[in-house]
Amino acid sequence: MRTFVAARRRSLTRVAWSLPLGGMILVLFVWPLVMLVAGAFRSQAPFLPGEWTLAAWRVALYNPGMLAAVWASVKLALVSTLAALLLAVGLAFVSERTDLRVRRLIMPSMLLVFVTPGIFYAVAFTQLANPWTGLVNDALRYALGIDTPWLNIQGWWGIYTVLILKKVALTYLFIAGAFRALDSSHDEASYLSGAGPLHTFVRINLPSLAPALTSVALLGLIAGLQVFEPILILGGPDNIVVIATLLLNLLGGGAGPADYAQASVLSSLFVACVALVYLGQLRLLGRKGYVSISGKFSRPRLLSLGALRLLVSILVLLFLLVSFVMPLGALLFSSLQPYPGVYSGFSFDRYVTVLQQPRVLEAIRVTLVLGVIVGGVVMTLGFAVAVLSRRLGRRSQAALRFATLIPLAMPGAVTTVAISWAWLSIPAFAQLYGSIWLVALALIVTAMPFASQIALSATAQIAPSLSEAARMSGAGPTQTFVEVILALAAPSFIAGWFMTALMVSGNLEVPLLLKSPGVNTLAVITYNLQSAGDYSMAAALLMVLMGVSLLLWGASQATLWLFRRARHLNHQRTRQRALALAAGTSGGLRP
Amino acid sequence: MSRVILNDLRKAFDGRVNAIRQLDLQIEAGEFFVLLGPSGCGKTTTLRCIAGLEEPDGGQVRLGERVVADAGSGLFVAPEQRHIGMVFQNYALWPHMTVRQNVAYPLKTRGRLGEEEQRRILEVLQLVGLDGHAERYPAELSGGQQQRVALARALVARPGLMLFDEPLSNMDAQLRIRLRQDLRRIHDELGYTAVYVTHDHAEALALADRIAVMNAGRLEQVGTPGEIFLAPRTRFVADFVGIENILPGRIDALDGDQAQVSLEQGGLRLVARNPSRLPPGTSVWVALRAAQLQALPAGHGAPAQALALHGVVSEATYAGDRYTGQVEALGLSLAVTLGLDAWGSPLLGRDALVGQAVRVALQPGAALAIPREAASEPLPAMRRPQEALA
Repeated sequence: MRTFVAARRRSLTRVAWSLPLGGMILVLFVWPLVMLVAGAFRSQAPFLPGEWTLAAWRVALYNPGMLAAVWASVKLALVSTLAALLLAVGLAFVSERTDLRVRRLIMPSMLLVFVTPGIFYAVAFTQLANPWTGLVNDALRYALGIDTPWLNIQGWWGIYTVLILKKVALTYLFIAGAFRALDSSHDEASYLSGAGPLHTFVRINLPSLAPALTSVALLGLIAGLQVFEPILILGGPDNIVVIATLLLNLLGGGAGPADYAQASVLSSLFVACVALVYLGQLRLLGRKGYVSISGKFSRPRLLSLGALRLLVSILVLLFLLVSFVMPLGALLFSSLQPYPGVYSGFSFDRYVTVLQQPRVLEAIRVTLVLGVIVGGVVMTLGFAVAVLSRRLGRRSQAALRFATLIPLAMPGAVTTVAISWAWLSIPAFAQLYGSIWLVALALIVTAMPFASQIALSATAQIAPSLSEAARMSGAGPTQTFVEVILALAAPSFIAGWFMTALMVSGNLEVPLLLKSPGVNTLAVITYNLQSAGDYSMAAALLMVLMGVSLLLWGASQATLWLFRRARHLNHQRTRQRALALAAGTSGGLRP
Repeated sequence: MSRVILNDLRKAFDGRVNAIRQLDLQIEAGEFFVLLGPSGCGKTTTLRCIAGLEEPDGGQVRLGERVVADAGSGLFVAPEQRHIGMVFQNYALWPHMTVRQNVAYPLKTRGRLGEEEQRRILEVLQLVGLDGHAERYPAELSGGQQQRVALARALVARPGLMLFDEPLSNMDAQLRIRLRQDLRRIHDELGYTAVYVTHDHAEALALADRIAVMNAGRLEQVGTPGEIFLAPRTRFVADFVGIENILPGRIDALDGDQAQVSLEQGGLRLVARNPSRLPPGTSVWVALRAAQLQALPAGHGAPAQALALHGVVSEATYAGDRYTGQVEALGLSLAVTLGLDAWGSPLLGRDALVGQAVRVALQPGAALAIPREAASEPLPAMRRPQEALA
């Protein structure tokens, strides 16, 4: 009798774990994709009476505007990915394998760049180098007494600069991380075979990082195809249209009427291409071994650059200057100016004005709530998927992980649209329309690929036998998840929480496209101010956003500290309780 | 103490061959039982089915009177409900807990930690010789100490059944021998049933009350260490326990427990033990341990032994207290021993031995007849040159 109860309990826990999670994944990730593809074959907007037709495809394939947008996206993605890859590999080499002093600055700067929202960059570079009031142009004008602007950030050059700088950070973090995890015996074997550090880097390290390099290149390509904020802010004068901004127009964000079917066609094509590239990569890497990670970490040999020291140091510093110090400085400076181009009367008035507006205070609250809640939920989901997928067969595992990667293949704009169509068909979700919770759900979906990657790599480092040992010790699956997996992965969990919270607070597409009138985040208000030409106010607001980010960072560090403290106290307590007992009695271990 | 019964157990992994096929096994209460076999033979899968970490596709697992898995009725008891202790190959200590917290965990999952439990933690740490290390973290311990903590954690809840998944394979040879003795001592002290998985036959011989040799998801032979080592019943087992010469032959006549056999190659006739009671005319493998084939200098005094055959040394390796080598005789290549008393002083090099004419003497009762069946496949990796002739 006992055994039957126990048996039923096990299958119940399994169902309790996998059914709601599976259902949620279906609703959040798969259903929107289905609706998206279906929309491409409908003659009317979703949920209006219409018929199945191929008309949209005919129009789309003969539409020169669409082809131009696709070509612009492809060009942007390829060029920025390649440039970022080269720069990041160079930086990774300097920071991991040379003895330059500046190498210690690289990792923290890249982390800062990575977590800074894209809109921050686009706005900062506008302040720095727009042809009318750009700080660099004004400085050059003043210093050299010439009239024509030297730099113009508006247009292709600006977009490339912003994209590449952002992408270098992501690529660098990926490569440097993989670098540090490399088995150092591979390097040592190469040294003993007569190769120096540079040779070892090129011949041994880079090839063994091939999986990491191709993954990050692929991610970069996909992200490049979806680029949105920089185009919106910097692409105006040249009339640059890419896939994401074309979608915005097709969906009624621009001048013309909404054309849902066209938007669906474009998105479906995009998703299909990305899926093909992704499968290709899987096949390519499937046969090779991945980066070997061992527990042995020894200091790699560092290359002395000799005569090149100064040159390389200056180049690195210059890069860090352009990628972080100057944009931040420009924003700070602009936020203190009364008007762009006016170099007197600096004050904190803009901050006072901004912080006195009720809608800004509301936006800070909304941004914080969205960041914290969405970050926490999406990381929990990511970990649940990662842990559950380890207990599944290989095929269901692949399917589950693939489902959470679907949003990666859909540009943020597409995801948002797909989500709102898909969920409007479900009554419970339809009621959410226009509320902060629909925005939150959409943000969860867009942040999921990132969260599940963090969770997968964090849990992959936890040997399965650690949870098996807990099961053998009498802990159920939920207790094992909390006390072993989450406890061990807590630092990754908290770091991931912080990063997703930042991504969420800087996200412009989702709140902009979901058109929830009551829900204004700091990013949306900043964009509105910027497009109205109110640069100084936008700058002040972005500095506030930076402050909010710092607040989130502080909160994440505090959480981590509390967590460690609790563990430490727990340890102290068990120790004292044990010490209080008189040690040693006769053996009573016989079963 | 609990008896373990596996009934027609089957397990396959998706896309792969059957890991376990139709396994029937009974492990007695209090027994130290070793599952022995090469990697991929299904021994670890069997252990994990007993633990509840794998769900069998077919058959039954019973612990004592309790059925814990029955594929037919869909019954499956979760591992945490089985009250089993398990020691993992990679120790599986939780790095975020101290030694004490690791060991306390199985008691904590079953209720509050009172004075009685704290005392028991100290006792079990004493038992494994780690009472001074309770406040350390696993990363601060050596491999041997970590495995002792893992053992303490498995023992602390006083399970009637302990499972060991190659617990000593990550350690150096000396440590392995010391821990092996400790494992056996603690088992004898506490009296639990132990199921122990290993691929190392020396470990199996030292630890086991009984051994089951597994191959390709099936049991090849179950028996005492003596039976497995001295009277392997299949060619696979003979190979696996390290019998160097396995030659094709045929039974000519019976003589009580013994049989007259003739080798196919060279027509040599000799007396072999015949524990399987194979009738005359049966094709057999004749198994000969190199340790029992002494190669003596050709002119050496004639010992009164059943077999003495002439040949030439083709290969010799110094092995401390003896040489091991190959002798070519009658078209056979035999692995033999060259004793130090006959060849050793002064120590000869390999070159001095190769080419020497020798007489090979076989100790009586050393040869063993093993049925030659298609079912029992030899290990490809362990093929010997003689098989090319077979």
